[in-house]
Amino acid sequence: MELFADRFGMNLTVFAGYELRKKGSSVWIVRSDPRLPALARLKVRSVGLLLLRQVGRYLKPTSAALQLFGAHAERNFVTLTPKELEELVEKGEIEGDFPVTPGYVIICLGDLPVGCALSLPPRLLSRLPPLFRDKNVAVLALRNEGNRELLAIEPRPPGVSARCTSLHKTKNGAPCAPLLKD
Amino acid sequence: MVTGKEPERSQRRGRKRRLRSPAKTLPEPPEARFSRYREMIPEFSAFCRSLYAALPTHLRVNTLKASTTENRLRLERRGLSLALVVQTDLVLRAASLPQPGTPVEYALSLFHPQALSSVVTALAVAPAPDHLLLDLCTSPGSKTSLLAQLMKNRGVVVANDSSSSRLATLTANLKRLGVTNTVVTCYSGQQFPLHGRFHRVFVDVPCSTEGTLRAGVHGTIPATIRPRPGLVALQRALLLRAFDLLEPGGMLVYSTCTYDPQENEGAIQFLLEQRLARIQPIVLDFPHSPGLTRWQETLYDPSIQHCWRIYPHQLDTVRFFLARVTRDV
Repeated sequence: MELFADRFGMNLTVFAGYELRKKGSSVWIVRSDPRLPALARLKVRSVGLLLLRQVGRYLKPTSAALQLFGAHAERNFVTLTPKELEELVEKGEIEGDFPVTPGYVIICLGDLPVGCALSLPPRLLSRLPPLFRDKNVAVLALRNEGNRELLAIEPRPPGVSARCTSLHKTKNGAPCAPLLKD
Repeated sequence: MVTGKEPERSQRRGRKRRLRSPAKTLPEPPEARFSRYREMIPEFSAFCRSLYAALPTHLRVNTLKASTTENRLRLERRGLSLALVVQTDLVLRAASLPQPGTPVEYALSLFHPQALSSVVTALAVAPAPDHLLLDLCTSPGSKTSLLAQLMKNRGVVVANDSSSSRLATLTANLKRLGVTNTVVTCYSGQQFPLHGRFHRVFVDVPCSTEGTLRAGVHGTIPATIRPRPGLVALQRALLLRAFDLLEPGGMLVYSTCTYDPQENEGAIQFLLEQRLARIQPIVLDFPHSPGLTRWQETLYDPSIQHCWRIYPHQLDTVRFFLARVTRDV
């Protein structure tokens, strides 16, 4: 949790009532409950929300976790305009003078935490989930600000599912009963 | 050289191919397709008319991330025309959003496109934040995430599905929606271990899915759906196991999205005959019809009238059957 305190200046009381589970190189956050140990008798696939993933020597916070807890960050967050976010999503990186230190940062759109990016000044590299790379999402996010006409949905290429979940697949890991064991 | 095993294997393959081949059915108008339910469905002509309409888009607000008011304002600033579904403060009806999975708010999981009847089903479970809840047939996770939302991301939701591939979709949805109180398992529902007991069990069983058919959505309605062998037996086995997993005083909700009384009232009747179960009234304010107490020559327990049948002409959404069952202390 030091990552969230040191890097993002979060008050760790934000995480009161949660506990962490480690499996392989990933850390999951789950709401504390006295009945969780008893559930370890089940063959558990996963618990709670993926919080951190080991990338090389570093721990990378997931965008899903930052969307949930990122509003409590005091530093190392970048507020982008819709146009900058579009560019970040489309090109994978943008350049600029962002008030952050090198490392993982939180991307915000207005007051909304959107996800994770990597700051390598002057570059900002997208670490947003694949869902954001769905062309429809990116286009609509940025072109239809207050403009009713632009809400018309662009046609999907043939064979592309309308269900965004199909673009956002998780790995099917082996049963992870140890997640519920200390 | 022909071995003794080859004919057997080829026969098996041929049988498998036959089972997997799509049903050869001609499209029929809804009036003909559902004529066998004419006596059962109130205002049958209005029901048939409703099947020609497009399915409205309902957006369930993810209150784990933003309030309904915030979300509504945010989407309306984008030019969306939204109406709050009056019976619940969780659902917005979007008139001009044919593909709800597109605005960036979807990627941010501020809302989740979900049929209104599916929301009603989860509301009927009425979980409390301290509950231990089991969703026995969980994927793709819309109702599961709503149950977690109703529990304010507290307590524990055990989300189970028999299919690993479907669990991938479930996990992605739970992650996107910011759910932190789930434990995901992969058992055949009817064999879920009896290690512990749950305050609430929700079992949305596999069914013949007649209630999801709309000419306004699919273009045509197939004349028949190929019956899945063993489906009714599977539904009953799931329901029995769901009941056995309840703690005394606990409550289960059984739901399907089909009209067929055999899969609905028939399953509940079977449970009442097998276990000391009690049907409870559903205290929600949505248009519906009562459960059947008679279908053709079959009589059902009078308490089954407390179950709900939601028809598309009553609540403009897909059809659902739901029953609340308690286990006596």
